[in-house]
Amino acid sequence: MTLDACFDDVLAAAQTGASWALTELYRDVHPSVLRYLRSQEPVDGEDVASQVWIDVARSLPRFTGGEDDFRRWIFTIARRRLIDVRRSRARRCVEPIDPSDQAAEYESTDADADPATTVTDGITTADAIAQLRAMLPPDQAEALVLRVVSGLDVAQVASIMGKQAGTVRVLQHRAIRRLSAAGWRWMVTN
Amino acid sequence: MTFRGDSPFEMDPEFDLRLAERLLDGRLDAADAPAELSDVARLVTALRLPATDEELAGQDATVAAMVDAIGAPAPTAARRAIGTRRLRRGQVATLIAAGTLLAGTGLAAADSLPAPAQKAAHTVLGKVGVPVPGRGHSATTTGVGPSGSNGTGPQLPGPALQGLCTAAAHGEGSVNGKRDDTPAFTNLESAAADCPTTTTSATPDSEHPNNGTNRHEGEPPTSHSDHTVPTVSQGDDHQFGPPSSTPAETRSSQSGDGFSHS
Repeated sequence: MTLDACFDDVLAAAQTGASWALTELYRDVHPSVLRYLRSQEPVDGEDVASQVWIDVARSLPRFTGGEDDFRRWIFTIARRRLIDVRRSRARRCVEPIDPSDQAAEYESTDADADPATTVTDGITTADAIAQLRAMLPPDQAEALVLRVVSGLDVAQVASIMGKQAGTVRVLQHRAIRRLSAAGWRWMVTN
Repeated sequence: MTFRGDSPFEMDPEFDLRLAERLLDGRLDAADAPAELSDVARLVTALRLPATDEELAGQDATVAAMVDAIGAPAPTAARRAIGTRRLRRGQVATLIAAGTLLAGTGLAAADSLPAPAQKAAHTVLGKVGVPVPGRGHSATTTGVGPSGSNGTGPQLPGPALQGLCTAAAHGEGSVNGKRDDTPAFTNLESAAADCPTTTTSATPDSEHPNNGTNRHEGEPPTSHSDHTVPTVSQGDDHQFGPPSSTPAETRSSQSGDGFSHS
């Protein structure tokens, strides 16, 4: 879902603090940001997403650009907040959490009740994120999720990740090849 | 940690990169995907499912926080700029004050301030242990030449001092010279009189043990070298022999004005 032609008007209103416009931006981008953050930090993803939106609001009056620029900007902020969280955790020497527990923590969607999952054979977004985390190296999972959920092209994803476009493309292709060869369905059904 | 598929030897030459790009861009439905990518296509499609209620549960609270953040004046650039300007003003004022203090102290130490200011500096700085001459220069003493309107001469010490001393040695009491009428000599004598400990500095030739020790008032100098003050300041004093009299005798042979009258 994108705002397309409405984006400029919504952005202009949001920059003045209009609640309705901020809600539109939030509903448009937040699910993607949250999925990306949960694919990286399942437990802290929700909190990090809230911080991201506050940071966005503080700088929003000075933002200029189109919708793609806006999405890239938000995902860049989100990635930096992730790095901050990891550094803070490293300083506090917090024990890592079992990924399987993390997946169960935010898996609240009932696949049978969500008609959207019919095209995925009942696989929910939370299922997909859990499988990606379990089967892919972190950099491949991040490159794949960013590309898919953000709706941005390789060059923009590379900009967000601070990598070359060719590097990101290789990471994504390797991720697809691994998922294809490993049979991710086994982990879902077990 | 290694993963299957990372090795280039395991790469499938039949892997269709263009198909993979279509999959990533969302232009390949799971139903249309080839068999080897059908599972991956379903996984990618699941990542693109519409937002759930759970994902948007925090919408109201987050939007309210955003409205507050946009309206909050604290982090604005204008307020930061005001703080920066205040800081800069304080720094500039501190620098000016420090510079003025240093310059004033330097001028006072060089005895270059007007007499009232010099006396004040002498009093104030003397209390904190900084030695500063107290006599000071009147406004007329700053002139270089003897043509000052108030009859004052060149500053002391300086190159003119050596000339004065030499002239004093050669022409003291001479009928041709008008030494006592010149402000330069007046200053020289008064400087020596004010500070007895600086006698030697006021009369560089007195630094030399041989200078003025064996002469008596009214006697002509025995040799020209005895009165050539610049030779002393140029480091040639080692060419002279040992003193022929004690320092006390040297002082006693001098007049009370601080430099030797030969």
